[in-house]
Amino acid sequence: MSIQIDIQKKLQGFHLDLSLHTEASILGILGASGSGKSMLLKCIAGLIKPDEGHIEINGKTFFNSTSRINLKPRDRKIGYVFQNYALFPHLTVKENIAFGLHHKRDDQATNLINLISKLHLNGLEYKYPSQISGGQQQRVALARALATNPDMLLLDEPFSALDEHLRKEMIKEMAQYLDLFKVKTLYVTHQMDEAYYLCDDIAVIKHGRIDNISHKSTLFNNPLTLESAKITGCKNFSKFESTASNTLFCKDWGIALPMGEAIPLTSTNCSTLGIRNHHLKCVDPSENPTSPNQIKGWISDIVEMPTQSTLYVKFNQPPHGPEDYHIQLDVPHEKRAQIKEVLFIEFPLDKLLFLED
Amino acid sequence: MSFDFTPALISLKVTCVSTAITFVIGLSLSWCMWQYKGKFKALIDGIITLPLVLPPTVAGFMILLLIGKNGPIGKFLDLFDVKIIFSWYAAVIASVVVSLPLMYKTALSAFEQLDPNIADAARTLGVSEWTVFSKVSMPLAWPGIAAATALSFSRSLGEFGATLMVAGSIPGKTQTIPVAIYFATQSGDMNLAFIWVMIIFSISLVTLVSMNYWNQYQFTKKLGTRR
Repeated sequence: MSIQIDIQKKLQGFHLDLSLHTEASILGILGASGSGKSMLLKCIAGLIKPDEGHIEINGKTFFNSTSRINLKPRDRKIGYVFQNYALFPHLTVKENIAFGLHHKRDDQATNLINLISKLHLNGLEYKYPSQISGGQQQRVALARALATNPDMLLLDEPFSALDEHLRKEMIKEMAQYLDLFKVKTLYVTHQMDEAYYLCDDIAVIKHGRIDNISHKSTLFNNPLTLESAKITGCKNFSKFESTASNTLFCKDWGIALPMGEAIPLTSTNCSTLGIRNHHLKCVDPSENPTSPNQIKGWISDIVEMPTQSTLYVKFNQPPHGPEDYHIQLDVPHEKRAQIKEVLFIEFPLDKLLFLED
Repeated sequence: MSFDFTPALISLKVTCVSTAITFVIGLSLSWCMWQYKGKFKALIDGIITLPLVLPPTVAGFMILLLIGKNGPIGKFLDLFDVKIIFSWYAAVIASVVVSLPLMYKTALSAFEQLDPNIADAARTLGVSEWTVFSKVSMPLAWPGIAAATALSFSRSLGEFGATLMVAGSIPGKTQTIPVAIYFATQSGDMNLAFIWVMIIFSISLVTLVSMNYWNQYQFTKKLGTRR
């Protein structure tokens, strides 16, 4: 799939200025709510007209403001799965799926039967959307979008209306369907686990701009920008300064990390240091610190989650309350009993993220 | 005494024709205005809604200016020897102008209550705009559209001021029930006026009530039992 997009649109209090060029077959668009990711899909589908720019998908020009091309949504051959599915409530499941088909053609009737069985919708053909479950509604929405044989599938947060258990199941199902139908897909979400599972390449979008686009493992291991680190789940950030003796001084945390060797800055514009919760290690305070990267801290708060506990830790001096902390880290439940008020936090140097703002 | 039924026939003829016209124009206008997001939306909306708040005599006066003997439309039609002023056509025009805002406003709010994604979903499936309208948006907004039609019908049936100004009160030709009531009362024939009052009362009530029942029936039939 080739996507060539350069669009601008000014709205009240929001400016969409997107430039997206990729050949990925399944591209994830990861962004916080209000970042403009749904609007990008609507621009591609032709439901919103950009002010300026061009949109070219698989060599076909959908929109070009200079040559005044603006294809109608119906001529774009795009399958769109809406966040709330937008099924036709007055039509049966079968009528919903067949809506874009020409009833008189036999091959399409066979396709329809195939599609219904591939998406496990047998037996539901004559039910109305209000009579089936959320997961089934989603499969109907997907079937409806695939029925017209689209060149490209747009998925707009398709799992956000499902409860957690069903969500996990439907993500796995969706991965199978995408593999089965081999359709180029643009997948929008704010959940990093969904994007990681379904997509190979991920674009991070922030305030209507593409912040970062890379392969998913690169994005998670070396997010490069603060927004990418945040949206991929990193919680601990500090401004930093490198001092002469190869020491990193973390301004927001008030601590110094000796780096040993030269600081591996990926870009000179990096000004923020990040580290993921699960990379921080908690060292038993009874053992003497063995490495200079083990920093003394005080517990501000402990939040118990189903599978692990999150510790909130303050450096340099005891905290004033549970909201007074510098970093957070996750420890397994069995380790929790050993945690005392004072502890040492180890920063693995190879896991530090150097980020641009 | 022989009772003259012509006002009832004229009223029904005028009301049915004008409701049909109002239905088509009002529905198209509300559909277009639902899609239209431009800066003139408030102005156009205001102009269409104006006859709802103006006295019907003002509407009648404006129509008179347009289709009267010296009005632009009146002059144009005169070339073909057609005269619509003081005919039942003029009564239809008056009814349409006065009932259009009701049709337009009620149908528009019915469209506005729909999830816009549903119409958009239909558009991405490669169907024409007419199919989006006739197969998706109109059926979904149907209860509101039916209510709008019933209101317009009742409003047309009760139209008096503008009708009197442009169509007059020619018995057997342009005299509708409301006009007949007025003139009967004026000439002191309270019995006659009372009969017409009861008739118009019954027609309006039956229209509104049967529309309600029919709507409920359609709704449960289409959507089945809702969870």
